[in-house]
Amino acid sequence: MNNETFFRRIAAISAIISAPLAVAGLVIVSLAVDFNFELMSDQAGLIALGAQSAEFFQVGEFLTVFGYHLLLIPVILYLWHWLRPHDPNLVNLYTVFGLGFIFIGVPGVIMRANVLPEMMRAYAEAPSAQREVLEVVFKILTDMAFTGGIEVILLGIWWLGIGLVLCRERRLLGIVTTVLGIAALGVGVGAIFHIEPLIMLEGIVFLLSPFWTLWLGIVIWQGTEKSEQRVEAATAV
Amino acid sequence: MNSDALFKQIAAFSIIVAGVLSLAANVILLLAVDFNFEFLENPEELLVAGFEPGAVELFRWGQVLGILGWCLLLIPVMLYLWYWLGPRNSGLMTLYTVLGLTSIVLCVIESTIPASIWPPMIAAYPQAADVQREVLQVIFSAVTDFAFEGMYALSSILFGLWSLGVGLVLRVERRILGIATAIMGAAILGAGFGWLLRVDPLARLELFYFFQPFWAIWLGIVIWGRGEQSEPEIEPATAV
Repeated sequence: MNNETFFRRIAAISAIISAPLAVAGLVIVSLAVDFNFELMSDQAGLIALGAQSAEFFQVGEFLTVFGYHLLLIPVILYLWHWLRPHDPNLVNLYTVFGLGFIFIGVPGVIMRANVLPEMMRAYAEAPSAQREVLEVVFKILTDMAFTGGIEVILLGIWWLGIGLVLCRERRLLGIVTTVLGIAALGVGVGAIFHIEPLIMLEGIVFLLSPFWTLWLGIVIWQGTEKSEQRVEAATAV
Repeated sequence: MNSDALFKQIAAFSIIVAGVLSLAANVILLLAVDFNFEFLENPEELLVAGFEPGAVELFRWGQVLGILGWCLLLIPVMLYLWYWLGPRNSGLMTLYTVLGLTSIVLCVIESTIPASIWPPMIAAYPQAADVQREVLQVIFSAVTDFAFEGMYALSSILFGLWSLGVGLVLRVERRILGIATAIMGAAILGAGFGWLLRVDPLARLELFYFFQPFWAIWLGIVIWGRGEQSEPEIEPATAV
């Protein structure tokens, strides 16, 4: 197995593994808030969920950091490597946005996975005088942790740009990627300007995203030999 | 001196300085906590016990040197290894390099927290009322868990993957250094998962971090030496 094939397989396996981890993370976080997603923006309600929800929240967020973020790094780089010959400058630019999504997203998720559950556990045992202080601190940290708008805009730009280039290689997958990108951009703009109907798209985007990575992983696994050969021939000239 | 040679020398110098600074940071941090390893393993005890007079400044300097030695000064060498080993392993080396640079971002955040948040909280604790102390303990624990169980664990996983991957590629060029780099990477990767999953024996593999300063100096010397050997080969080629 040569280096190119090894890299392709790492990317494919990462994409395929990321899908169940992301779904599991989403389900476990949903269980933590008892499928009441309004709690995610209601800090007073979130901190009062109790110790058991804190456990679910922590496990769910840790799965999320792998499923939605870290395991996408090989995928982002493989798509860069694969699609760059079509349009080097634009694909470089989109890839920077994709990696920006990871860099901004990971610290926020880690904060949600560590700081928030710790405070939820402490809140459950605290007397009322302490609870007021904990609520204030929790609100500040939650606002820091949910960097939603900017993070999702970066993801949206990457999806949209890469999707348009991917259309030249895999038409249907490229179109779906582009649509996801437009939806993610809508979510990001909605989060920044507090446009409720656009924010509602977030659930759909993050629910569909694991299925997209699974599909992409299968496509990458099946091979891009034809295009690799084309690329090699083109670069050899 | 052409820009290739300058790049090599910057990378070699950075990693040698990183090795020295990380060694100094380790010693200074241990001095700040009076060689009480318990404080480094359970920082909550440090909040209650407080620093000895003068130790706060020492601790802050230890962390600042650490940010340089453990994190920032590794950037040139990561980019140099990508440049050196990349042509034969383009995709893989790019992947390892991005994992390495991501680990640097997380490492900086993780190291900044003890440097900036711990000293004022530790200073405030003795003067606080009982109710406030309990709140301070909760916040201190939460922020410390964020730094160590979250950021440090993930940073170690990514740095371990970088070392493992780069070590395996480097083995072709410099066999012993490549194998040592890969072994260090595998151990640090294990330590990262140990912290993340709270598996104590696995987390103890972090002791390999004490090997890192010597590895850094070794790598710096190899890069410096390589520069002197390769320049004559490169310069005529680029001069054509």
